[in-house]
Amino acid sequence: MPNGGSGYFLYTVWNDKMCRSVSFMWKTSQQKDISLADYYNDDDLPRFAEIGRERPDLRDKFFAYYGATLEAGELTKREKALIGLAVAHAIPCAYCIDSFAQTCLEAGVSTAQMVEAIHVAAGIRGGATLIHGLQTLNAVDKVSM
Amino acid sequence: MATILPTFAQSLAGANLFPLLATGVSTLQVNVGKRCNQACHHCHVDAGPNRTEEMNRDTAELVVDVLRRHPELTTLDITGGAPELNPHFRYMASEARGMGRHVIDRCNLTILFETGQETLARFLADNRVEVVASLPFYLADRTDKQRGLGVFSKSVEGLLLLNSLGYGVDGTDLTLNLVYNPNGAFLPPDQTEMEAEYRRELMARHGIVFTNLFTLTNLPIARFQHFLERSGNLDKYMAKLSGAFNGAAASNVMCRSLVSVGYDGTLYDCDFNQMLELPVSTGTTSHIRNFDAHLLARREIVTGAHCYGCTAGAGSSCGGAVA
Ligand code: SF4
Ligand code: SF4
Repeated sequence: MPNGGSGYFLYTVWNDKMCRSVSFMWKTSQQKDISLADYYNDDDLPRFAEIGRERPDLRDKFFAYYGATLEAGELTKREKALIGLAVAHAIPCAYCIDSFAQTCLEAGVSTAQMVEAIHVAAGIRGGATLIHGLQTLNAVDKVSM
Repeated sequence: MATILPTFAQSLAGANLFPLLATGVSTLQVNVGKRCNQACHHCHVDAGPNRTEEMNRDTAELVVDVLRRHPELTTLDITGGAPELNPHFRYMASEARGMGRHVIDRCNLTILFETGQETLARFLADNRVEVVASLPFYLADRTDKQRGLGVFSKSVEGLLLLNSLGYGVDGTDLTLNLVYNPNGAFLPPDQTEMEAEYRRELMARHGIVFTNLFTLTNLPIARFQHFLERSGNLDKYMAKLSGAFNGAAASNVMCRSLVSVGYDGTLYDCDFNQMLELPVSTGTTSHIRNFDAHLLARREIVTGAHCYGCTAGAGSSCGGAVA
């Protein structure tokens, strides 16, 4: 086990099978002087295209699709920017949050509108947790006298 | 991570537009001085109440004379500072209107309520002057952050006053255009979508009507550049602007059809070059007293990295998006 809380964090969030590769990664990381602080590095966002390093064809297909989904259609770009922001919080993905906060600004969305969209995401996430409470109750009822 | 950006000249060359040449001169944009009743955070003129630079009567007469000799200059676009504070503003505007020219006043709205400006709105309406008014957002918070506390509510009053005179009202010939500009290091929204949003919100919240909305990009110069530096956004903003370079916008940049006049009569390619003290490239004719329409109409434009602000995305000009 590598020293420090960061290594422990990696160990606990990855399952046992991945543990060996975690240790390996850790060593590589130390060699390259990379730490957990480098995760969610905002300099990575403009480097997104590098994901095509091994398979540029797949990257290009994905980017074409991704770009097309955000073009104005029946929904305006502005509406899509707000949907993107809400989903970013629901997932939740730091890169997407950064990116869609910017997209919202560039679509002329007000801060209050962004906050309302985030509350919609939070509401649905919370609702999803709660509605699953009925599954618990069903499971309890099923085996209870 | 430092990235080396292409120079603006390289980007122009990639779009077969280098060197960037004027296509004619139809607008004379006159900056009558740096005095302003406001001191906005994004101001590219560094204007404010304490600035003293101001166009004098002799230069104002030279401007009128150039208009008289050159009917191809169909538009006189007057800017500042708050242009209305210049004592020769009304002289220039009414002379140009008398010659049948289209006159634009770049108005900050709050000036309408300054002492001594009580008759300004009526003057503008009587002379059929187009008003282009800054309103960076349709909500108070973003507008006031950029332009100063209380500016939004005064701007609303100003717009209602202009509406009451017929400005922006269907069926009148009084044009009231609004100007959106981003409240930070990001690009402006789609002009058509934002115009619809402004129209709906300003009507619902304040009963305001207007003609069109222009969305402008903040150019990385003067106060806005200082903000970018202070906030650590300069590199990313420049990368964003250059990454969004659009050849179609570049071929329509406003400097290709206008000449900008400084308060001392010096000629520039645009108001931004004026603030950067980059006069037109035509040498001895770079003053209004030597105005050579023929040379200016085919001059090479002086460009730099700041020009990326005019060519990003849908482009940006004093008349909004260009592509
Ligand atoms: S009102 Fe216009 S000229 Fe005056 S400080 Fe603001 S941006 Fe500058
Ligand atoms: S900054 Fe001025 S010179 Fe440069 S492209 Fe824009 S209008 Fe033209």
